[in-house]
Amino acid sequence: MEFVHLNVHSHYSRGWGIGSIEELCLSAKGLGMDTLALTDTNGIYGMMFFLEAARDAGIKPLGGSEIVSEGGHRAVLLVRNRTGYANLCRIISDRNCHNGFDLVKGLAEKREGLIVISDDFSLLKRLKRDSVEDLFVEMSPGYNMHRCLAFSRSSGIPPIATNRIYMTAKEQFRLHKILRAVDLNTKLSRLGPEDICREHCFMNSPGAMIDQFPHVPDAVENTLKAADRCLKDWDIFTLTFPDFEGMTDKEAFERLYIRTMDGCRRRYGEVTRPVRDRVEYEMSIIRRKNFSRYFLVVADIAEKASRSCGRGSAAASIVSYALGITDVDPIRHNLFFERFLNPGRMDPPDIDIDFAWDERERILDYIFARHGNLRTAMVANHNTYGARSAIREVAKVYGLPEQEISRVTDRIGFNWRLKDISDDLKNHPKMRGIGFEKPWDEILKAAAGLESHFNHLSVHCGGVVIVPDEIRRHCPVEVSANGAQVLQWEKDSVEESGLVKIDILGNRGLAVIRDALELVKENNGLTVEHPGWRPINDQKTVEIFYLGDTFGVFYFESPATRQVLKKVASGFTFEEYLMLDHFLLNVVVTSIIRPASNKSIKTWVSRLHGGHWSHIHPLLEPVLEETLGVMVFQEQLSQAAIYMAGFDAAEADALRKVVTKKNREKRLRDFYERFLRGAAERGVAPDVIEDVWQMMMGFDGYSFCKPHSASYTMVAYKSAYLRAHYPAEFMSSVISNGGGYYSTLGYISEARRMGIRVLPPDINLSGIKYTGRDRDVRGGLMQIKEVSRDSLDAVIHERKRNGPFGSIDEFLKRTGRDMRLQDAKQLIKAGCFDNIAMGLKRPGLVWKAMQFFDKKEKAAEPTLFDFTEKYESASGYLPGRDNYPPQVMLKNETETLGLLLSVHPLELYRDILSRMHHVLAKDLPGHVGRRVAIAGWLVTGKTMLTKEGDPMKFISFEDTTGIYETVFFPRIYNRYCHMLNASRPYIIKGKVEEDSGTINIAVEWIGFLDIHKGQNRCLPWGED
Amino acid sequence: MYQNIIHIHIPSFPITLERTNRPELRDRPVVIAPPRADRAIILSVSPEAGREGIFKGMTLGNALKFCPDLTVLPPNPALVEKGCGVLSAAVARYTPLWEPSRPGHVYLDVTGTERLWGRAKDAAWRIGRDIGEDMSLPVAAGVAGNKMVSSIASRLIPSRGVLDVDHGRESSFMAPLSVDFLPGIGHIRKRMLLEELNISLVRQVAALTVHDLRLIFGGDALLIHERAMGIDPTPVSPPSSDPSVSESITIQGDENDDVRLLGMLYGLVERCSRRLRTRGMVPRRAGLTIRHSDQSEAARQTRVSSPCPSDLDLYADLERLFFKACARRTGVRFMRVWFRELSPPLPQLSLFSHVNHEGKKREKITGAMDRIRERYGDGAIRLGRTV
Repeated sequence: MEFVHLNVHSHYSRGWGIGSIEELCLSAKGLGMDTLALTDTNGIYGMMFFLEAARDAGIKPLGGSEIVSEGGHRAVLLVRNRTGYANLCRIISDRNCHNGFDLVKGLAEKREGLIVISDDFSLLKRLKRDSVEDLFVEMSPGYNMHRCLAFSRSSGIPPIATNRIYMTAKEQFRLHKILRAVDLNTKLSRLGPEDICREHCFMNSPGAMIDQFPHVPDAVENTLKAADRCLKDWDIFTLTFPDFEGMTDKEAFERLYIRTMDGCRRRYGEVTRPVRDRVEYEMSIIRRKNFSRYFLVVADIAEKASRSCGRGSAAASIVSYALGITDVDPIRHNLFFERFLNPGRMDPPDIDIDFAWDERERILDYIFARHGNLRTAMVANHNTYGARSAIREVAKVYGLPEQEISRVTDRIGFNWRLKDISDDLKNHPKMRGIGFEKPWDEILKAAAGLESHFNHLSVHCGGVVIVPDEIRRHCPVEVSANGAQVLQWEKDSVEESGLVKIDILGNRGLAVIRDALELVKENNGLTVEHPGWRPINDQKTVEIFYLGDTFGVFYFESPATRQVLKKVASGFTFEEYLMLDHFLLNVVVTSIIRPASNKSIKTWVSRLHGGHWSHIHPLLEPVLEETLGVMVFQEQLSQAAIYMAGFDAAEADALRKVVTKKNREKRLRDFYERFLRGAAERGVAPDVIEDVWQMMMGFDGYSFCKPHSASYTMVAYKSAYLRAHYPAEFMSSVISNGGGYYSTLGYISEARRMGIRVLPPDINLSGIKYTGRDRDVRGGLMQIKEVSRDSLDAVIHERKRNGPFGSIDEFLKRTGRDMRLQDAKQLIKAGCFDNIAMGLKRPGLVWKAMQFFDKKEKAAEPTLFDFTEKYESASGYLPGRDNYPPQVMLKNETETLGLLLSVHPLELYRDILSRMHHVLAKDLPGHVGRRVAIAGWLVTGKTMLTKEGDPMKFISFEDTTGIYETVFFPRIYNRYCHMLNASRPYIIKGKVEEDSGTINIAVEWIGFLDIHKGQNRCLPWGED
Repeated sequence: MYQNIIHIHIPSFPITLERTNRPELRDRPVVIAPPRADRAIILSVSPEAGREGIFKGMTLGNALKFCPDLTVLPPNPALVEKGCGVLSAAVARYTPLWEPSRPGHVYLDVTGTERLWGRAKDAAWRIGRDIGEDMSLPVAAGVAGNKMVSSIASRLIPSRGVLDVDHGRESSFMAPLSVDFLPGIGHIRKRMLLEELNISLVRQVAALTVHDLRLIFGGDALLIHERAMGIDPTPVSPPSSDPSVSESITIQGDENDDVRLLGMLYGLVERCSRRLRTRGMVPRRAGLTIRHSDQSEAARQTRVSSPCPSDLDLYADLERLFFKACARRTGVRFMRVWFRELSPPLPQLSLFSHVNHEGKKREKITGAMDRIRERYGDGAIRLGRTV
């Protein structure tokens, strides 16, 4: 080794660095180097990835960061030991959290364990006063090298050579300039020399670097000396659990044991032998692994919410169940604790909890208040440039106007990767009609280069880390835009570093249940949720799953899930279905529709309906028996390795994780060898071993473990119970909480199909949220766009205090102080005052509001007396005595509510539909095997790839009679995909097909209905 | 005495002018747009192209998709200027009070000319006939008691002819028109009128009191009310006598490279300064207008720091203005440079014998370049930055 690069930036040097960490490591290795530093600017965002990539590339990793402070001071800091690492994290945190951060002062206080390299003479002079050890003058070609050398000689601080690497290769310089222009919000021609790095700041070979320093050989030698003193094995990361009320291990265990037994008595009534045995078993492992405090912390958090739902493998624990963290009885539903904790598991346990989405912030506030900012921080997300943002930013640098950029970016799909498709993008069917004139070629090329580069840090939706000492010595923190303290690492790095993360996730389904239960109590005085509430045993609830009527039901509402439910039910009468363990069936359904196992749906359903099958090998019988020989749950993969090849629990768990990772081949090789050997030792034939291995490798997408599925299914049963018994209360809660699988319009249509009347918002009858009672759902004021929440709260408050409003004048008098004219106009245009208009039409109401607010504005200051009386309308004239024309009424409705509430949008095309032969959605079962034309409004859709990699799409449409599923096979998708995003009425032509009780239309042609508006001729579509 | 105002309007003026020289363009869809740039914006549309769905402001690429047979002509400022000159000369015979508002639009105040030209509507007919004969241009003429009503009247004529609004009937003429015809309404207020107050006709606006109209138009209420009643006191103002020099460039496609844009800017300054030198004037005030490809405009002006007709001196002020006006990254599509407050150079000599050698040198170079250009053409010699 002749030279070590000690100032190296990856794309995690925001706005500067080009190239990934993997590329840097491979490039260094390719140039014959065995040691490399990573010193991203003001952060160690990519530290954990670097350690892994360096290990894979056979490079010794040196960690550090280049700190640039606001006063213009800069220094590269390299970590020498554990103390140095803690100091580096603290310095970076101070740099990112405090506006007036002074690097010189910070380093003077926290220099221990760090190597300091800098060309900042004032900083070096100050640090030299303490010691010259581990202090170097940085000499980089192109950066005042001669002055640095002179300073080194005069000050006695040794020189060190660096190349300030911002690019992996020389060719990336143009991309670097584009990135700088993006970062500085300028254009290429305005970049000054100091705005960009030098053209030679790429990964140079050691020989080329040595050639730069013939006059200062010691600068090169010092890179080796400094590297030698740096931390290289990185064994400083260990499991770090939160503390609970300062308890010792023993105290925490005893507290946990007592609380668990209390919980069991509450849950089970009496503690039976199996329950006690299970508790003892789990507690013994918890004690051995010292997890008691972690459980207590999580239980303490769960207690603060109205309801929660444990996710992941934690739902397999009776301790979690007893503490109220989860809601599924692991004994009754046969859930194995080992999936959650086992003696061999080395990584931290992972208890994730769902809370009602609108309570999440409050819970996070509680955590920060209880444990303090010193010990707590949120986990980050690393937001990288995606296809859209990369194109948008680069196109702006090239000076394209917003409209032209959006024309392209609006058509780019969610998961598109420019690196894979940039050459084909211009010819992609979705881009039909876009010219891609010059300079789009350059833009697309640069955008592809920029894709996946670090853009900014954001806050993970719920991951929070609590440590017992000081969070800033484990990982640097920043302050997010909303004021939260956030780590520089995302969840994988957090886990890799041994920090124990608790996921506090928002769940709409829980909020729906909470709100619906409250409405039921308000309407009927009933408390549905009592200790004896067992939705699993309720026939009407089970019927919801049997019929696939799960629109709005938590986790079971997607078109794909509803189709699987129908397929499952098609082989049974309802009575037979009731006799089955339908809960287990639905637990399987929640997981089998995940990407890892959805290809097995057909096999599983046919076996369920009595199709012949046998286990692939008797050894797998205990693993796959309950899922009929099909691999459905996450843990079945690891169990297969245990039962078939004798893996231990930790080994099998590691295998499960590797299977789902990208670039897994290299790491799988060892596991494969081990699997072959183990299975052969158990007498399994080679072809069976290969079949089982392939089955395990096929289980590579996202999947659920059984406890997680069971936990979600339990929430779904509660949800379905409310849909079955209190449909209006349920649907109104679903709409109010939003964020479901379908749009608000989709839920409103479903409510109508359920026989519920959907009523418009009313100033006297509506609440903020939607409300439901009997067979009516009343639109909530929340649906009205562009009205401030404060104004709405003021309306509700005033109405509660002084009763309903009698007229618009009274409304303005009583609420005018808290309202803006715009708010009042929106309420009027949404029809909220139609019931108290006193003969006025909406334009007249708007006029009255304008008069009122004009006078209010003109009043200099309120008088001693009731000022509202003073502003009584003086003008008797009202413009627009007539109401708006129908098209303006509909336009206003769409604009103020964001959707058409009064009629289904397809109703507006009734005249066109009356002139064409078409079938209705409710009649589709009678047209199986025939070609039909049908009207449709797009509800939701999902794009998939075929085995050949061609895109196709499943889309749910609805008409006024029902919702139906369509399939756009690749050829048809290619032809029509550019038409599939519009909120427009479609006419669809295709063949009706049936598969295990589900109806689909294989689409052959689509068009828009609205282009025929105003025409008066017969339309050509019709049934064959 | 009643006022008689005529508004002469030649629809699609630049295209109509082109058609006078190129009869093969008649009855064909034609637009004016900078050539060889798909993202260029259409500047003028013939009625035939309008019927194909093409409108002013559309991108050329899109227009060609709508109408592949479209004939695209490049902007011809010289022809338009010449056309404006001929039009002005034609109308100037009828009254000294004439005001060119935009290319192809002229107001004439013919009050008191009855004994010369007869009634105003006859005069309008005669002007239309003269222009039709002299220039072969179709003329739409509106006649009324004020500029606004005459202008609206001319817009109501499909292609050629005269529409006369009798004195005292302005209000009833305006009443059935859509509120779109009221000048100064703006998109936001129009939306408020139509979609919030259900007011779609001018007569509904006229029916409101000024006090009521304040709720909609604020301080402009009186003006709008007068307009709705057909009242417009604006006089016909003859062309300003304030001389100015300006040059503009419509860039093919967009440009956001400062080096190229500054090159173009220098070219504009160079042309202006040459005209100033020819006229023997120096400017006191300079201005720059930049239009981006998304149609947003930025205009800046400044006092000239060293009044002289040398492009090297004038450019320094314009370069400063450029960086103020062009703060956005979006490509630039149009630039215009102007110089105003022109006056002869100061005859006053310096009190001290300070000789500006640099200035003398520049003057020599500029003079030499002017001579070369005069002899061999504008492109014969150029500064490197303008290439």
